Amino acid sequence: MACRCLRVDQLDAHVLDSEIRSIAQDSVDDVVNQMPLWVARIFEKLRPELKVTLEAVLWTHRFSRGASPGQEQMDIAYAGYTPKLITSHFMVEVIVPYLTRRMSELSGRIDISRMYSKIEAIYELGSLLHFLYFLRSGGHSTITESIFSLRNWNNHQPTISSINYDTQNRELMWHAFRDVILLTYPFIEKARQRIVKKQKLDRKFTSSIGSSDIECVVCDKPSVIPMVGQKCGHVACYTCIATSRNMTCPLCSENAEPMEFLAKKLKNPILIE
Amino acid sequence: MSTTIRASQLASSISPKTEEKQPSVFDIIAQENLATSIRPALQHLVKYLAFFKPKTFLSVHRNFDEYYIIFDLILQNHYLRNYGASFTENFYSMKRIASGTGNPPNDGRERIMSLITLVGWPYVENKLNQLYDRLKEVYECRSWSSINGMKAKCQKMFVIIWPYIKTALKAVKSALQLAYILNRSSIHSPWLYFSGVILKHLTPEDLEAFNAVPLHLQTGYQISRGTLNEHIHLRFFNRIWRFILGLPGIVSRLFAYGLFFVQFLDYMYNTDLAKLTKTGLDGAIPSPPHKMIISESEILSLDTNKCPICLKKRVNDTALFVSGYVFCYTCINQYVNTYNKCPVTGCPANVQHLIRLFV
Repeated sequence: MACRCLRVDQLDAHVLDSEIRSIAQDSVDDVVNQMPLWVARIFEKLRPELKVTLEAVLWTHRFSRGASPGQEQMDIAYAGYTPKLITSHFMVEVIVPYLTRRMSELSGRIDISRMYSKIEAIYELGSLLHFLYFLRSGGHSTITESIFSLRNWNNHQPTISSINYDTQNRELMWHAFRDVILLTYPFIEKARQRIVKKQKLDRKFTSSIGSSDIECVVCDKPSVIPMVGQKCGHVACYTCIATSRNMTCPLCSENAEPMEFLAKKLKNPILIE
Repeated sequence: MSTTIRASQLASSISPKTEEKQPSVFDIIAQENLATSIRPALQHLVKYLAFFKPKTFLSVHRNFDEYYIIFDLILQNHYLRNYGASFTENFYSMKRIASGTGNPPNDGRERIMSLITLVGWPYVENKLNQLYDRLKEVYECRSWSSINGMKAKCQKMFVIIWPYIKTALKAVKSALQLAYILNRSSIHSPWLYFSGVILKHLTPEDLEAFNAVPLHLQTGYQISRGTLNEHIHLRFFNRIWRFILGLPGIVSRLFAYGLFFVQFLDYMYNTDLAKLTKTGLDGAIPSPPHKMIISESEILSLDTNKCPICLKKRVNDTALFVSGYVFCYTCINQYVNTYNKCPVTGCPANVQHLIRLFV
């Protein structure tokens, strides 16, 4: 234990821990999705228990290494983190929320559920205030850490080590790509809309079309109860243009072309006897 | 999954590398994500080129799997021989070392096994998936009762067994990944076990070794023989040769940056940016106007349970969504297949527009 660690390292450790939890959960869900339907239904029913079991497996890392995976990544650990303290921490952090939520769900009584929601809301508010105090003044990053008097310490003295240019290059490229996308996206979108609109203006209904789909100019899917412009010939779904309140062509909005049902434009069909 | 890329940069940029430890699970998932991005990106590019220049690129588009496996073999072989890692592993600052000896797999059995697991197995798995989809569709159209002959029995056995094999492989991979997170395993995937290698971070000595120029190509190399004119010629050819040797590195580096951009685009579209571009119907839909659609009064005078085609009680109700009328399934299916339009309104239609009503 060299010295107390920074707040930003503790926050990064929490982010990494939650990311590891989601990776493990996604792996298990991926396997369950491949299984037959009755097995998947059983797993869906037992989802909270499965989640607690997975959490317990991940918490074994603290017993063997003295820190969580995220803390180990950030090279920090709690001072005096004994196995007994780890067990108590696990009980308060994982088991107590699971038991209270499960009991309120299984009891079926509305007043217990409502009381549980109130207690949860109060706890969330307390956590938020505690977190704001932590951001302002340091100290313990979560309420459970305050309860158990756990503080994060750096395992080694932080030094200015050799610069990893590969990682910095990737970080710089990531931010450069983000800035390029945010800068050019409006122009790309405007150009794309102009091209699409030009294509749609050329797409008109003619009686020579035999078996092709009539695509709606608004939703780009086959028209449901197609409406056609009386002069311009553009086709749209009834529901798509009904939202425009005045039943006019969405492409020729400046001319306010009225639309009618496509069926009225067609000649009478021949019924099979 | 896309936030894992950001987490890998967070973990690798901050943690000090005082000792050589195994890469974090975020780096590994990010490089696997980059590896799975190569093939769809190239396929999309080839499809785009085939659309504009059919004479040149259509054959490439049709046989994309075979062309891609050749390209992938060249790429991974180059990286395994020169950098001791696959293409995406090198991009994320990792290398492979043999489990027994601790040497890089530049030559020998580890490189062959690495090439098989990196290039061969994805190709085989893709072909097996396509075969499974095709056979499953065939046996759903026909029934299983028409099975006879050894080949058909083998095909049926394959259709039954392949999903279980895939599930087992995925379960093994998940278990190894969890063990890797908990530092109980040095490998995160069964394919690394088959290749006989483990992953490590690159060290500064490795980075210096990559940039080493061969001795006889260095500029300051003294030549003990020859005249001044011969010396100038030799130096010129050394520069040309050094440039040619450096060209694959430059091209592969640019290729890596392009793929990183693809990965970034995938990340952006899976997060908040996609929500800004989505458009949907909002507001209530008003009731339809009461207008006369057809002029045939006998259609409207029918009972609501009659079919407009056969004028009898409907069997297997089917709606035609281009007009909204409901018919017998056999009547409308036959009519649409014959005339390609709605019998009441005349709107163009095909069998894709039939909606079976199960009420």
